[in-house]
Amino acid sequence: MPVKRYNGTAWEVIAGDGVVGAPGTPGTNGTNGIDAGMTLLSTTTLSGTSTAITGISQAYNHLFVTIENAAHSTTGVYWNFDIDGLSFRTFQNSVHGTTKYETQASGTPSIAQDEAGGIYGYVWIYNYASASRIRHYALNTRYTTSEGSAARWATGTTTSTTAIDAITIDANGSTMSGGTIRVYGVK
Amino acid sequence: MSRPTIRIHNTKTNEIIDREMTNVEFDIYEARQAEVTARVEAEATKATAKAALLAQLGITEEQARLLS
Repeated sequence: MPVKRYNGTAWEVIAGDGVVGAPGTPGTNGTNGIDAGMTLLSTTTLSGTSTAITGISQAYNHLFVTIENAAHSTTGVYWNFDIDGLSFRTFQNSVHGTTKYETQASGTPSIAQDEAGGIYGYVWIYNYASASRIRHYALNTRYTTSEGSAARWATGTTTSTTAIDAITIDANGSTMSGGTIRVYGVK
Repeated sequence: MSRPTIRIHNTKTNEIIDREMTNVEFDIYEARQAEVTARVEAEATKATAKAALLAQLGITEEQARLLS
């Protein structure tokens, strides 16, 4: 995330990639100075068995994705968060009620094992457009299982440097019955 | 009977398309549904077996956690 600081003479912004410059004009995404901050790229209502957001702009350093009240029609659903079809090596901790789970896996990131309560959370996707840096994601979600209220923390890495321009929320065999996904570009 | 749908939101054009699954997508969907059903049944079987074992041992689930 960009940081604003006072250097003793003037305010300046340190962007996510370490570049330091003058702060931009609020509301114009830094068009008269360093381009920093978050820009809402899309807002999508979840529908069907999966919802894909495609054609994501490559003009940012990172992506920040929020998931609000994602719901579905059946029980015991494992929700996936597909990042342009890439396989990630993931380390994950979950707490379901009072039971803790630790897993390591390779494949499509999983965001929840929801029963019916709706999923809330966010996902960071770092360096998603870079041609030279590896891809890394981090997520935190909140949901409800048969074991009680649940939370999940996960990070994953892939060595792929393929530009990411699509993400898909997949209810994995169930049908989504509402919820919103927002994608932000972050400088 | 119509197949389940997929939503695609193209952020370049802001066009949202809801379409039925293709044959390949539908095969994957059905396989995943079968997996979920099997997993839910396996978890229910495991929970039943766990409850029976705790009853046999005469301890609560909280007491069982102290052993791990």
